Amino acid sequence: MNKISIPIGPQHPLIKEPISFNIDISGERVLGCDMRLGYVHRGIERLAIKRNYTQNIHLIERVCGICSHVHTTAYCYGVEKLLGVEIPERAQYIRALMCEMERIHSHLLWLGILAKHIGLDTIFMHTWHDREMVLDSMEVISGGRVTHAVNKIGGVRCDITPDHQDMLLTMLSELRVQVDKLLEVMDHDGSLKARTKGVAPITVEQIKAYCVVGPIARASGVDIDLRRDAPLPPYDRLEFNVITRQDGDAWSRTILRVEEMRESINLCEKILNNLPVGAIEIRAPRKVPPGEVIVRTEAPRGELFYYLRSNGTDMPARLKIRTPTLPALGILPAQLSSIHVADIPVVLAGVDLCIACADR
Amino acid sequence: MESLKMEEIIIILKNEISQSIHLINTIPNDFGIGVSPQYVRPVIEALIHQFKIYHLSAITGQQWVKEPSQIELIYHFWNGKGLSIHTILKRDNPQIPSIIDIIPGADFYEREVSEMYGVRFVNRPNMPPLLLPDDWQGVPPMLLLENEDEQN
Repeated sequence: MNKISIPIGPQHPLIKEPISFNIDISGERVLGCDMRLGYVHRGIERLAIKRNYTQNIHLIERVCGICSHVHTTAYCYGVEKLLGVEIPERAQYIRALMCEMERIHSHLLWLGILAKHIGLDTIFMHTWHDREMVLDSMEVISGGRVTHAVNKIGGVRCDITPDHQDMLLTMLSELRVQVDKLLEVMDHDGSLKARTKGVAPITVEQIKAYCVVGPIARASGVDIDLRRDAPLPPYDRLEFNVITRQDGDAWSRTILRVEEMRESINLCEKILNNLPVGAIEIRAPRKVPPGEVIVRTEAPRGELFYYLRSNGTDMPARLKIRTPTLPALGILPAQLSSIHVADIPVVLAGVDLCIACADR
Repeated sequence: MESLKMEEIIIILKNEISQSIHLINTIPNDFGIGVSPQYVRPVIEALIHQFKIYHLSAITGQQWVKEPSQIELIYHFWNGKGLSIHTILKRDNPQIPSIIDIIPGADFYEREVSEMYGVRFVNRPNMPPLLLPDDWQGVPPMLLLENEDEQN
Protein backbone atom coordinates (compact mmCIF):
# COMPACT_ATOMS: atom_id res chain seq x y z
CA MET A 1 0.00 0.00 0.00
CA ASN A 2 1.19 3.53 -0.71
CA LYS A 3 2.85 5.61 1.94
CA ILE A 4 1.05 8.82 2.85
CA SER A 5 2.54 11.60 4.98
CA ILE A 6 0.17 13.55 7.18
CA PRO A 7 1.41 16.84 8.60
CA ILE A 8 -0.08 17.58 12.04
CA GLY A 9 0.56 20.98 13.59
CA PRO A 10 2.39 23.18 14.37
CA GLN A 11 -0.80 24.98 15.42
CA HIS A 12 -1.98 23.13 18.51
CA PRO A 13 -1.84 19.48 17.52
CA LEU A 14 -3.68 17.75 20.35
CA ILE A 15 -2.33 20.09 23.01
CA LYS A 16 -2.44 23.86 23.18
CA GLU A 17 1.22 24.17 22.37
CA PRO A 18 2.98 24.38 19.03
CA ILE A 19 4.85 21.38 17.67
CA SER A 20 4.82 19.89 14.22
CA PHE A 21 4.58 16.18 13.46
CA ASN A 22 4.88 14.55 10.07
CA ILE A 23 3.36 11.13 10.40
CA ASP A 24 3.84 8.50 7.68
CA ILE A 25 1.00 6.03 7.34
CA SER A 26 0.12 3.13 5.14
CA GLY A 27 -3.55 2.24 5.31
CA GLU A 28 -4.46 2.16 9.00
CA ARG A 29 -0.89 1.60 10.17
CA VAL A 30 1.60 4.25 11.23
CA LEU A 31 5.04 3.71 9.71
CA GLY A 32 6.98 6.39 11.52
CA CYS A 33 7.13 10.08 12.33
CA ASP A 34 9.29 13.17 12.12
CA MET A 35 8.88 16.16 14.35
CA ARG A 36 9.94 19.77 14.46
CA LEU A 37 10.40 21.72 17.66
CA GLY A 38 11.43 25.31 18.20
CA TYR A 39 8.18 27.21 17.71
CA VAL A 40 8.38 28.50 21.30
CA HIS A 41 12.15 28.69 21.57
CA ARG A 42 12.85 31.82 23.58
CA GLY A 43 16.59 31.48 24.09
CA ILE A 44 16.25 31.36 27.86
CA GLU A 45 19.73 29.91 28.36
CA ARG A 46 21.21 32.85 26.45
CA LEU A 47 19.02 35.41 28.23
CA ALA A 48 20.00 33.99 31.62
CA ILE A 49 23.65 35.00 31.27
CA LYS A 50 22.56 38.61 30.72
CA ARG A 51 20.52 38.87 33.92
CA ASN A 52 21.40 38.76 37.57
CA TYR A 53 20.54 35.83 39.82
CA THR A 54 17.35 37.42 41.16
CA GLN A 55 16.05 38.49 37.74
CA ASN A 56 16.71 34.96 36.51
CA ILE A 57 14.17 33.51 38.96
CA HIS A 58 11.43 35.34 37.09
CA LEU A 59 12.87 34.34 33.72
CA ILE A 60 13.18 30.67 34.65
CA GLU A 61 9.71 30.54 36.12
CA ARG A 62 8.51 31.14 32.57
CA VAL A 63 10.25 28.13 31.06
CA CYS A 64 7.09 26.14 31.69
CA GLY A 65 3.48 27.11 32.25
CA ILE A 66 2.62 23.99 34.23
CA CYS A 67 5.63 23.10 36.36
CA SER A 68 6.92 26.64 36.84
CA HIS A 69 7.65 26.20 40.55
CA VAL A 70 9.93 23.18 40.24
CA HIS A 71 12.14 25.09 37.79
CA THR A 72 12.77 27.93 40.22
CA THR A 73 13.21 25.42 43.05
CA ALA A 74 16.00 23.63 41.17
CA TYR A 75 17.58 26.95 40.21
CA CYS A 76 17.42 28.43 43.72
CA TYR A 77 18.88 25.28 45.31
CA GLY A 78 21.71 25.52 42.77
CA VAL A 79 22.46 29.16 43.56
CA GLU A 80 22.22 28.50 47.30
CA LYS A 81 24.65 25.60 46.95
CA LEU A 82 27.13 27.89 45.18
CA LEU A 83 26.63 30.49 47.92
CA GLY A 84 27.12 27.82 50.56
CA VAL A 85 23.95 28.77 52.42
CA GLU A 86 21.18 26.55 53.70
CA ILE A 87 17.67 27.91 53.78
CA PRO A 88 15.44 27.55 56.87
CA GLU A 89 13.63 24.25 57.28
CA ARG A 90 10.23 25.90 57.02
CA ALA A 91 11.15 27.31 53.62
CA GLN A 92 12.27 23.88 52.42
CA TYR A 93 8.92 22.41 53.44
CA ILE A 94 6.96 25.20 51.73
CA ARG A 95 8.97 24.63 48.54
CA ALA A 96 8.21 20.90 48.67
CA LEU A 97 4.52 21.57 49.37
CA MET A 98 4.24 23.73 46.26
CA CYS A 99 6.14 21.13 44.22
CA GLU A 100 3.70 18.40 45.26
CA MET A 101 0.64 20.56 44.57
CA GLU A 102 2.14 21.30 41.18
CA ARG A 103 2.58 17.57 40.53
CA ILE A 104 -1.08 16.98 41.40
CA HIS A 105 -2.40 19.70 39.09
CA SER A 106 -0.01 18.72 36.30
CA HIS A 107 -1.19 15.10 36.41
CA LEU A 108 -4.83 16.22 36.56
CA LEU A 109 -4.35 18.47 33.55
CA TRP A 110 -2.71 15.66 31.64
CA LEU A 111 -5.40 13.14 32.55
CA GLY A 112 -8.06 15.57 31.33
CA ILE A 113 -6.31 15.94 27.97
CA LEU A 114 -5.98 12.17 27.57
CA ALA A 115 -9.64 11.60 28.50
CA LYS A 116 -10.80 14.30 26.09
CA HIS A 117 -8.94 12.75 23.18
CA ILE A 118 -10.24 9.30 23.98
CA GLY A 119 -13.75 10.75 23.97
CA LEU A 120 -14.43 10.59 27.71
CA ASP A 121 -15.47 14.20 28.17
CA THR A 122 -16.95 13.55 31.61
CA ILE A 123 -13.55 12.58 33.04
CA PHE A 124 -12.04 15.60 31.32
CA MET A 125 -14.52 17.96 33.00
CA HIS A 126 -14.14 16.36 36.43
CA THR A 127 -10.34 16.38 36.36
CA TRP A 128 -10.16 19.99 35.22
CA HIS A 129 -12.65 20.98 37.89
CA ASP A 130 -10.49 19.25 40.51
CA ARG A 131 -7.40 20.91 39.07
CA GLU A 132 -9.00 24.31 39.66
CA MET A 133 -9.26 23.48 43.37
CA VAL A 134 -5.48 23.02 43.51
CA LEU A 135 -4.79 26.11 41.41
CA ASP A 136 -7.10 28.24 43.54
CA SER A 137 -5.29 27.10 46.70
CA MET A 138 -1.94 27.92 45.14
CA GLU A 139 -3.31 31.33 44.20
CA VAL A 140 -4.43 31.97 47.77
CA ILE A 141 -0.92 31.15 49.04
CA SER A 142 1.14 32.94 46.42
CA GLY A 143 -1.12 35.30 44.51
CA GLY A 144 -0.52 33.53 41.20
CA ARG A 145 -2.31 30.66 39.53
CA VAL A 146 0.39 29.66 37.08
CA THR A 147 3.53 31.61 37.93
CA HIS A 148 3.60 31.56 41.70
CA ALA A 149 6.90 33.40 42.34
CA VAL A 150 7.18 31.61 45.69
CA ASN A 151 10.92 31.03 45.55
CA LYS A 152 13.63 33.53 46.19
CA ILE A 153 17.32 32.99 46.73
CA GLY A 154 17.61 32.24 50.44
CA GLY A 155 14.09 30.94 51.03
CA VAL A 156 10.51 31.59 50.01
CA ARG A 157 8.41 34.71 49.64
CA CYS A 158 5.09 33.40 50.98
CA ASP A 159 4.40 31.88 54.34
CA ILE A 160 1.72 29.30 55.12
CA THR A 161 -0.55 30.79 57.77
CA PRO A 162 -2.79 28.64 60.05
CA ASP A 163 -5.73 29.71 57.86
CA HIS A 164 -3.88 28.47 54.77
CA GLN A 165 -3.15 25.22 56.54
CA ASP A 166 -6.84 24.61 57.33
CA MET A 167 -7.90 25.58 53.83
CA LEU A 168 -5.31 23.28 52.23
CA LEU A 169 -6.14 20.31 54.45
CA THR A 170 -9.85 20.67 53.61
CA MET A 171 -9.06 20.97 49.91
CA LEU A 172 -6.77 17.92 50.04
CA SER A 173 -9.37 15.73 51.75
CA GLU A 174 -11.94 16.75 49.11
CA LEU A 175 -9.41 16.04 46.40
CA ARG A 176 -8.60 12.62 47.84
CA VAL A 177 -12.28 11.65 47.56
CA GLN A 178 -12.32 12.86 43.96
CA VAL A 179 -9.13 11.01 43.02
CA ASP A 180 -10.35 7.80 44.65
CA LYS A 181 -13.58 8.12 42.75
CA LEU A 182 -11.61 8.70 39.57
CA LEU A 183 -9.56 5.55 40.15
CA GLU A 184 -12.74 3.57 40.70
CA VAL A 185 -14.32 4.90 37.52
CA MET A 186 -11.16 4.20 35.52
CA ASP A 187 -10.95 0.70 36.88
CA HIS A 188 -14.51 -0.06 35.84
CA ASP A 189 -14.62 1.86 32.58
CA GLY A 190 -14.30 -0.56 29.73
CA SER A 191 -13.81 2.06 27.04
CA LEU A 192 -10.77 3.66 28.73
CA LYS A 193 -9.14 0.28 29.14
CA ALA A 194 -10.02 -0.70 25.59
CA ARG A 195 -8.33 2.43 24.24
CA THR A 196 -5.18 2.23 26.38
CA LYS A 197 -4.41 -1.36 27.39
CA GLY A 198 -1.57 -2.81 25.39
CA VAL A 199 -1.23 0.37 23.30
CA ALA A 200 2.32 1.48 22.43
CA PRO A 201 4.22 -0.40 25.14
CA ILE A 202 7.72 0.82 25.97
CA THR A 203 10.28 -1.76 27.03
CA VAL A 204 12.92 -1.28 29.72
CA GLU A 205 15.60 -1.46 27.01
CA GLN A 206 13.94 1.43 25.15
CA ILE A 207 13.71 3.45 28.36
CA LYS A 208 17.45 2.97 28.90
CA ALA A 209 18.41 3.64 25.29
CA TYR A 210 16.39 6.85 25.03
CA CYS A 211 17.27 8.03 28.57
CA VAL A 212 13.55 8.44 29.35
CA VAL A 213 12.69 9.55 32.87
CA GLY A 214 9.79 10.08 35.24
CA PRO A 215 6.34 8.48 35.10
CA ILE A 216 6.97 6.96 31.64
CA ALA A 217 10.04 5.13 32.94
CA ARG A 218 8.25 4.07 36.13
CA ALA A 219 5.30 2.75 34.11
CA SER A 220 7.75 0.40 32.36
CA GLY A 221 9.13 -0.91 35.64
CA VAL A 222 12.22 1.30 35.96
CA ASP A 223 12.22 2.20 39.63
CA ILE A 224 13.63 5.72 39.57
CA ASP A 225 12.38 8.79 41.43
CA LEU A 226 14.83 11.56 42.19
CA ARG A 227 12.86 12.66 45.24
CA ARG A 228 14.08 9.40 46.77
CA ASP A 229 17.29 8.73 44.83
CA ALA A 230 18.86 12.22 44.85
CA PRO A 231 16.70 14.11 47.33
CA LEU A 232 16.77 17.84 47.70
CA PRO A 233 15.77 18.82 51.23
CA PRO A 234 13.23 18.14 52.75
CA TYR A 235 12.50 14.98 50.72
CA ASP A 236 15.28 13.19 52.61
CA ARG A 237 13.10 13.55 55.73
CA LEU A 238 9.76 12.65 54.14
CA GLU A 239 8.49 9.15 53.59
CA PHE A 240 6.55 8.25 50.48
CA ASN A 241 6.08 5.37 48.10
CA VAL A 242 7.46 5.36 44.59
CA ILE A 243 4.79 3.89 42.33
CA THR A 244 5.92 1.59 39.54
CA ARG A 245 4.08 -0.53 37.00
CA GLN A 246 5.44 -3.28 34.79
CA ASP A 247 3.53 -3.26 31.51
CA GLY A 248 4.76 0.04 30.05
CA ASP A 249 1.61 0.56 27.95
CA ALA A 250 -0.66 3.60 27.81
CA TRP A 251 -2.89 2.13 30.53
CA SER A 252 0.07 1.72 32.94
CA ARG A 253 1.13 5.30 32.30
CA THR A 254 -2.41 6.47 32.99
CA ILE A 255 -3.08 4.58 36.19
CA LEU A 256 0.44 5.26 37.50
CA ARG A 257 -0.05 9.00 37.33
CA VAL A 258 -3.38 8.80 39.15
CA GLU A 259 -1.78 6.72 41.90
CA GLU A 260 1.07 9.22 42.06
CA MET A 261 -1.49 11.96 42.68
CA ARG A 262 -2.75 10.03 45.68
CA GLU A 263 0.79 9.72 46.98
CA SER A 264 1.34 13.46 46.47
CA ILE A 265 -1.85 14.24 48.41
CA ASN A 266 -0.45 12.15 51.30
CA LEU A 267 2.85 13.99 51.03
CA CYS A 268 1.15 17.40 51.12
CA GLU A 269 -0.74 16.39 54.25
CA LYS A 270 2.47 15.14 55.88
CA ILE A 271 4.19 18.42 55.06
CA LEU A 272 1.29 20.51 56.39
CA ASN A 273 1.04 18.49 59.60
CA ASN A 274 4.79 18.66 60.23
CA LEU A 275 5.50 22.19 59.06
CA PRO A 276 8.49 23.42 61.10
CA VAL A 277 8.18 26.80 62.79
CA GLY A 278 10.64 29.59 62.20
CA ALA A 279 11.87 31.95 59.53
CA ILE A 280 11.06 31.44 55.85
CA GLU A 281 14.10 33.14 54.39
CA ILE A 282 17.64 34.21 55.06
CA ARG A 283 19.52 37.08 53.52
CA ALA A 284 21.64 35.92 50.63
CA PRO A 285 24.48 37.91 49.02
CA ARG A 286 23.99 39.28 45.51
CA LYS A 287 27.34 38.08 44.19
CA VAL A 288 27.92 34.37 43.92
CA PRO A 289 31.43 32.90 44.35
CA PRO A 290 32.92 31.11 41.32
CA GLY A 291 31.92 27.50 40.98
CA GLU A 292 29.85 24.92 39.18
CA VAL A 293 26.86 22.98 40.41
CA ILE A 294 24.44 20.37 39.07
CA VAL A 295 20.91 20.05 40.45
CA ARG A 296 18.62 17.16 39.59
CA THR A 297 15.09 17.09 40.85
CA GLU A 298 11.86 15.25 40.12
CA ALA A 299 9.50 17.48 38.16
CA PRO A 300 5.97 16.18 37.42
CA ARG A 301 7.30 14.71 34.16
CA GLY A 302 10.56 13.31 35.55
CA GLU A 303 14.17 14.28 36.01
CA LEU A 304 14.76 18.01 35.69
CA PHE A 305 18.43 18.83 35.18
CA TYR A 306 20.13 22.15 35.89
CA TYR A 307 23.81 22.97 35.38
CA LEU A 308 24.89 26.33 36.73
CA ARG A 309 28.31 27.97 36.53
CA SER A 310 29.20 31.16 38.33
CA ASN A 311 32.18 33.41 37.63
CA GLY A 312 32.08 35.42 40.84
CA THR A 313 29.76 38.19 39.63
CA ASP A 314 26.03 38.72 40.16
CA MET A 315 25.20 37.05 36.83
CA PRO A 316 25.60 33.36 35.95
CA ALA A 317 28.23 32.46 33.36
CA ARG A 318 26.25 29.45 32.10
CA LEU A 319 22.87 28.00 32.87
CA LYS A 320 21.92 24.74 31.19
CA ILE A 321 18.40 23.39 31.53
CA ARG A 322 17.35 19.91 30.39
CA THR A 323 13.69 19.29 30.87
CA PRO A 324 12.11 15.81 31.09
CA THR A 325 9.99 16.31 27.96
CA LEU A 326 13.04 16.28 25.67
CA PRO A 327 13.90 12.56 26.14
CA ALA A 328 10.17 11.77 26.12
CA LEU A 329 9.93 13.37 22.68
CA GLY A 330 12.93 11.35 21.54
CA ILE A 331 11.14 8.07 22.08
CA LEU A 332 7.94 9.17 20.27
CA PRO A 333 8.96 7.94 16.78
CA ALA A 334 9.68 4.50 18.26
CA GLN A 335 6.35 4.52 20.06
CA LEU A 336 4.37 5.66 17.04
CA SER A 337 5.74 3.10 14.61
CA SER A 338 3.39 0.23 13.82
CA ILE A 339 0.41 1.48 15.85
CA HIS A 340 -3.08 2.18 14.46
CA VAL A 341 -3.85 5.68 13.20
CA ALA A 342 -6.68 5.92 15.74
CA ASP A 343 -4.18 5.39 18.58
CA ILE A 344 -2.04 8.41 17.66
CA PRO A 345 -3.83 10.78 20.11
CA VAL A 346 -3.58 8.20 22.92
CA VAL A 347 0.17 7.87 22.40
CA LEU A 348 0.81 11.60 22.02
CA ALA A 349 -1.30 12.43 25.07
CA GLY A 350 0.19 9.55 27.06
CA VAL A 351 3.66 11.08 26.87
CA ASP A 352 2.49 14.21 28.73
CA LEU A 353 4.27 16.63 26.43
CA CYS A 354 5.26 20.10 27.54
CA ILE A 355 6.60 21.79 24.45
CA ALA A 356 7.50 25.08 26.12
CA CYS A 357 9.74 23.07 28.47
CA ALA A 358 11.41 21.23 25.61
CA ASP A 359 12.00 24.39 23.55
CA ARG A 360 13.01 26.75 26.35
CA MET B 1 27.74 3.08 42.78
CA GLU B 2 30.15 3.77 45.65
CA SER B 3 32.80 6.46 45.57
CA LEU B 4 35.53 3.80 45.66
CA LYS B 5 34.10 2.29 42.53
CA MET B 6 34.31 5.66 40.78
CA GLU B 7 38.06 5.69 41.43
CA GLU B 8 38.26 2.18 40.05
CA ILE B 9 36.41 3.24 36.93
CA ILE B 10 39.00 5.88 36.11
CA ILE B 11 41.90 3.42 36.64
CA ILE B 12 40.26 0.91 34.30
CA LEU B 13 39.55 3.61 31.71
CA LYS B 14 43.16 4.81 31.91
CA ASN B 15 44.56 1.33 31.42
CA GLU B 16 42.17 0.31 28.68
CA ILE B 17 41.70 3.51 26.68
CA SER B 18 44.30 6.19 27.31
CA GLN B 19 46.61 7.38 30.06
CA SER B 20 45.57 10.96 29.25
CA ILE B 21 42.17 10.41 30.91
CA HIS B 22 42.13 12.34 34.17
CA LEU B 23 39.97 13.22 37.12
CA ILE B 24 38.09 16.55 37.27
CA ASN B 25 36.48 17.53 40.55
CA THR B 26 35.17 21.03 39.92
CA ILE B 27 31.51 20.05 40.40
CA PRO B 28 30.54 18.95 43.92
CA ASN B 29 28.87 15.52 44.18
CA ASP B 30 29.72 14.83 40.57
CA PHE B 31 32.55 12.62 39.41
CA GLY B 32 34.28 14.33 36.49
CA ILE B 33 36.42 12.63 33.87
CA GLY B 34 38.56 14.76 31.54
CA VAL B 35 38.87 13.16 28.10
CA SER B 36 40.25 14.24 24.70
CA PRO B 37 37.51 14.39 22.03
CA GLN B 38 38.70 11.25 20.24
CA TYR B 39 38.30 9.17 23.41
CA VAL B 40 34.77 10.35 24.34
CA ARG B 41 33.13 7.57 22.34
CA PRO B 42 35.26 4.70 23.68
CA VAL B 43 34.80 6.01 27.24
CA ILE B 44 31.01 6.16 26.84
CA GLU B 45 30.97 2.67 25.32
CA ALA B 46 32.93 1.42 28.33
CA LEU B 47 30.56 3.19 30.75
CA ILE B 48 27.56 1.50 29.17
CA HIS B 49 28.91 -2.00 28.58
CA GLN B 50 31.34 -2.44 31.47
CA PHE B 51 29.85 -0.29 34.22
CA LYS B 52 26.15 -0.25 33.24
CA ILE B 53 25.97 3.54 33.40
CA TYR B 54 23.55 4.29 30.61
CA HIS B 55 21.49 7.30 31.64
CA LEU B 56 22.68 10.43 29.84
CA SER B 57 20.92 13.41 31.43
CA ALA B 58 22.22 16.11 29.10
CA ILE B 59 25.07 17.40 26.99
CA THR B 60 26.12 20.88 28.05
CA GLY B 61 28.14 23.09 25.73
CA GLN B 62 29.86 26.10 27.13
CA GLN B 63 32.55 28.67 26.49
CA TRP B 64 34.81 30.19 29.09
CA VAL B 65 35.73 33.86 28.72
CA LYS B 66 39.34 33.14 29.67
CA GLU B 67 39.58 30.57 26.85
CA PRO B 68 37.40 31.96 24.03
CA SER B 69 39.10 29.76 21.44
CA GLN B 70 37.69 26.64 23.05
CA ILE B 71 34.28 25.04 23.50
CA GLU B 72 33.80 22.68 26.40
CA LEU B 73 31.32 19.80 26.14
CA ILE B 74 30.10 18.02 29.26
CA TYR B 75 28.24 14.70 28.98
CA HIS B 76 26.27 14.37 32.21
CA PHE B 77 25.56 10.78 33.19
CA TRP B 78 23.68 9.56 36.23
CA ASN B 79 23.44 6.22 37.94
CA GLY B 80 22.57 6.95 41.54
CA LYS B 81 25.39 9.50 41.46
CA GLY B 82 26.45 12.03 38.89
CA LEU B 83 29.28 11.31 36.47
CA SER B 84 30.39 13.82 33.85
CA ILE B 85 32.71 13.52 30.90
CA HIS B 86 34.44 16.79 30.07
CA THR B 87 36.07 17.43 26.73
CA ILE B 88 37.51 20.48 25.02
CA LEU B 89 36.99 21.32 21.34
CA LYS B 90 38.58 24.03 19.21
CA ARG B 91 36.18 26.87 18.40
CA ASP B 92 37.41 27.31 14.84
CA ASN B 93 36.79 23.63 13.98
CA PRO B 94 34.65 22.04 16.65
CA GLN B 95 33.97 18.42 15.79
CA ILE B 96 33.49 15.23 17.74
CA PRO B 97 32.22 11.71 16.92
CA SER B 98 28.49 11.29 17.42
CA ILE B 99 27.20 8.81 20.02
CA ILE B 100 23.61 8.39 18.83
CA ASP B 101 24.25 4.84 17.66
CA ILE B 102 25.18 3.84 21.22
CA ILE B 103 22.72 6.17 22.99
CA PRO B 104 19.78 6.98 20.67
CA GLY B 105 18.47 9.40 23.31
CA ALA B 106 21.46 11.67 22.67
CA ASP B 107 20.00 12.73 19.31
CA PHE B 108 18.23 15.88 20.55
CA TYR B 109 21.11 16.78 22.85
CA GLU B 110 23.60 16.63 19.98
CA ARG B 111 21.33 18.59 17.65
CA GLU B 112 20.91 21.31 20.26
CA VAL B 113 24.65 21.63 20.93
CA SER B 114 25.28 21.63 17.20
CA GLU B 115 22.87 24.52 16.63
CA MET B 116 23.80 26.56 19.66
CA TYR B 117 27.60 26.19 19.45
CA GLY B 118 28.26 25.13 15.86
CA VAL B 119 29.73 21.80 16.96
CA ARG B 120 29.84 19.21 14.16
CA PHE B 121 28.98 15.69 15.26
CA VAL B 122 30.56 13.36 12.72
CA ASN B 123 29.27 9.97 11.64
CA ARG B 124 25.61 10.65 12.14
CA PRO B 125 23.03 10.50 9.35
CA ASN B 126 21.37 13.89 9.38
CA MET B 127 21.21 17.02 11.44
CA PRO B 128 17.90 18.77 10.72
CA PRO B 129 17.21 22.00 12.62
CA LEU B 130 15.81 21.45 16.09
CA LEU B 131 15.15 24.79 17.76
CA LEU B 132 16.33 27.50 15.36
CA PRO B 133 14.37 28.56 12.24
CA ASP B 134 15.07 26.71 9.00
CA ASP B 135 16.54 29.85 7.43
CA TRP B 136 18.79 30.82 10.36
CA GLN B 137 21.85 32.59 8.93
CA GLY B 138 23.65 34.05 11.92
CA VAL B 139 26.39 32.67 14.13
CA PRO B 140 25.42 29.91 16.54
CA PRO B 141 23.53 31.91 19.18
CA MET B 142 25.18 30.62 22.34
CA LEU B 143 28.73 31.43 21.20
CA LEU B 144 30.21 34.42 22.97
CA LEU B 145 30.63 37.27 20.53
CA GLU B 146 33.93 39.06 20.06
CA ASN B 147 34.70 41.38 22.97
CA GLU B 148 31.74 39.97 24.81
CA ASP B 149 32.31 39.70 28.48
CA GLU B 150 30.31 37.29 30.63
CA GLN B 151 29.45 40.25 32.83
CA ASN B 152 27.64 42.41 30.29
